[in-house]
Amino acid sequence: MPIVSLNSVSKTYGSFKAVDNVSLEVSAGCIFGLLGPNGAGKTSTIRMITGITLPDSGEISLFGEPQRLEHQNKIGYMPEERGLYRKLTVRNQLEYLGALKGLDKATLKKNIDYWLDRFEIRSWEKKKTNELSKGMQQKLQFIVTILHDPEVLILDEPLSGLDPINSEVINDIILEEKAKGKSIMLSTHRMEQVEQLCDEIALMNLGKVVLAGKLREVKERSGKKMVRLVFSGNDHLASKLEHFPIRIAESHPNELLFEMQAGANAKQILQAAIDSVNIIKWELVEPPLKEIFLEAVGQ
Amino acid sequence: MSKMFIVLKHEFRQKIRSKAFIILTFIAPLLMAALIAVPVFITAINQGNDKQFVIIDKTGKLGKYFTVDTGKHPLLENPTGSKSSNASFGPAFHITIIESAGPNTFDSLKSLLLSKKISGYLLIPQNAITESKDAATLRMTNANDFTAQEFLSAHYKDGLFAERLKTSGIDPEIVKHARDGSEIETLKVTEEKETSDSGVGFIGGYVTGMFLYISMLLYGTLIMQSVIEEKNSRVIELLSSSVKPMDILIGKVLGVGLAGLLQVSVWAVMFAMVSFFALPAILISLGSSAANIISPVTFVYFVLYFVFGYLMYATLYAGAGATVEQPSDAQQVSMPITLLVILPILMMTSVIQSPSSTSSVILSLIPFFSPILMLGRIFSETPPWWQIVLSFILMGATFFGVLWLSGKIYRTGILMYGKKYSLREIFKWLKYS
Repeated sequence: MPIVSLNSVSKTYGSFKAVDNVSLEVSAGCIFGLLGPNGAGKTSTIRMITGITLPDSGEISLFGEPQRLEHQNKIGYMPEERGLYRKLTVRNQLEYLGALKGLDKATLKKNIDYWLDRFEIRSWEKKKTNELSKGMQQKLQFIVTILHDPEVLILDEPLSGLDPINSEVINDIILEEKAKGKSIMLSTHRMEQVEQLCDEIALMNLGKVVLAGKLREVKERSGKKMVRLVFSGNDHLASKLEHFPIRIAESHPNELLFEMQAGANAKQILQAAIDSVNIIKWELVEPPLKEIFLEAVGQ
Repeated sequence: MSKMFIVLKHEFRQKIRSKAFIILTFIAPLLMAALIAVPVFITAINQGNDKQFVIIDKTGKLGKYFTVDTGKHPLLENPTGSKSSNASFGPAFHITIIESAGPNTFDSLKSLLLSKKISGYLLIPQNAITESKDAATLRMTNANDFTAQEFLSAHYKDGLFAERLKTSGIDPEIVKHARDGSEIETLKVTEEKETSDSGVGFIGGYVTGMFLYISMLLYGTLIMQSVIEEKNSRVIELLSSSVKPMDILIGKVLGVGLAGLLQVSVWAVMFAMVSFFALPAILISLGSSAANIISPVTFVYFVLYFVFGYLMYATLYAGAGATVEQPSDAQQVSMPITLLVILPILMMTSVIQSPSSTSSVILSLIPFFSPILMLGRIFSETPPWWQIVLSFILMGATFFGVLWLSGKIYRTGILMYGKKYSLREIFKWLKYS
């Protein structure tokens, strides 16, 4: 059963069509990646799912029923533009925003204590938010999102501003929540995070969904044959292979990623490579999401 | 607990815990009291600074109007008489009278004057009573001492008047008798009683009008700042993913409103305490009593007009706040609303003076003007009950209209960033679903 389902949803601001006839489904218990360049309509779509705005047309279903205001309590939303009360203390902030998600006093206290400990910021609870470091504010923002134990987490660029250690903590929590049967919707530009975490994706461009489905299927459907070549020696390999019908996607000093296009002969290419460098590895790989993304958006 | 109520509680708590609020609640009345008390205090301590004047009365007839011979001759040899005034406020005047001036008199008076031994001397020419051209002259080092000028001038006029009557063969007592009781006494008539008003209603209306004006601006601006702050810190997006914007708006307006009501109540209690001890004295000096202006009924009206006025203006300010992103832009968008508050203050005088004229009735029924103007009318001449009721109905309807309008603007405005919006664009927001 899809936990979030959009059916032909559109949203127009003035003469600008931010979301154009979008349909998509997020399966329960999976991590869903909503991708797209800036201005593709991701935030506008998320705002409708979170009930911040209403669609001009189309229907949104949440938890298997038409969207209602009460659903807001079951969603945890982390906006891309982070926002907290600057002058509230950490605890007051969590108490107010948690109460607005329908938590009673006892649960609120228990959950706040748990998450402050988990992120090791308990000793900061009496500090005002604007006294915290940027990274610490990010942690606080994440706690606000997850404090009421929501069924659906909607995270817009959850890792921005976090160091590698804390990024790992967030990724772990996302996977934990998934293991608990929660659904997570990620909007991000970090393709490696999507590859690492997402089960399903939808790619938006200019207000429309241009690609959607399970990550694996999307990759298969792209029909791209990609080769990763690792080598040592001459680092001008790329120029030596230029005349073959291939498209070089990535070129690093000792590594090359290219797409085999129509008429490309693997044997000839490999031979040409052997003639100029020491081959360490030649492997067929699934196309990186970035490639699919760029191709879909470039159209 | 409804989410609107959670917002309300939060806003209320935040406001009453803020330093600015606490300071304003307790310090502002003290400042006001100081504003009244300090001049009185200064006048009081100035009393010790007695003033010496010398009058050279060449007519020999006018001196007695300044003097009661006390046998005290403080400065000059052989004065005709001297007098000390016993005014309760201001400095006491010591007058020394001489009737003839030798060639050296003026020199010595001048040196006394310049050495500050005396504050001035008044020269009354010989023909002052008969010749209206011969005016008396007062010489002082400080020509701006109006109290002294007033004191001397009043006595001189009385004396001159009496003496001129005498030269025409008329007994000044007859004239004095003829003048007695010629002042008109003004009584304010209500259904229950007649009271002498002496402008107290006017002052009452004006003071409460100014108070409403200041508090509308104050609390309206508070709300607007709070809206802008939530938008500027982007917390509003998070907030509106939990609560309907309309609930945020209403919760905010009511929360800050309750804090305002609490503040006003504290002031009212302080004012009542002051009134109990000090106001009767002040009012009696104005020829009225406290009960005449601050009757319980008037107080209830005051609270009601405060509440209705607050609701209308606070909601407007909240809507205006949602259209801007930076606190520095607040003034620009709040200008039209501020004008709405200022206008009735400008009309106040004419409405209180003719409270029942058609224009006064119409103006005081305009919802945005009612709190100040209708209250002003209630102070000066209680309007027909139906006009009061109608003003509340109109204000209530306006509040809901404003709430609808501000709600629409607020809901869209809080999510709009990056540029300043024209009135036409904001108008378009009203159509967004």
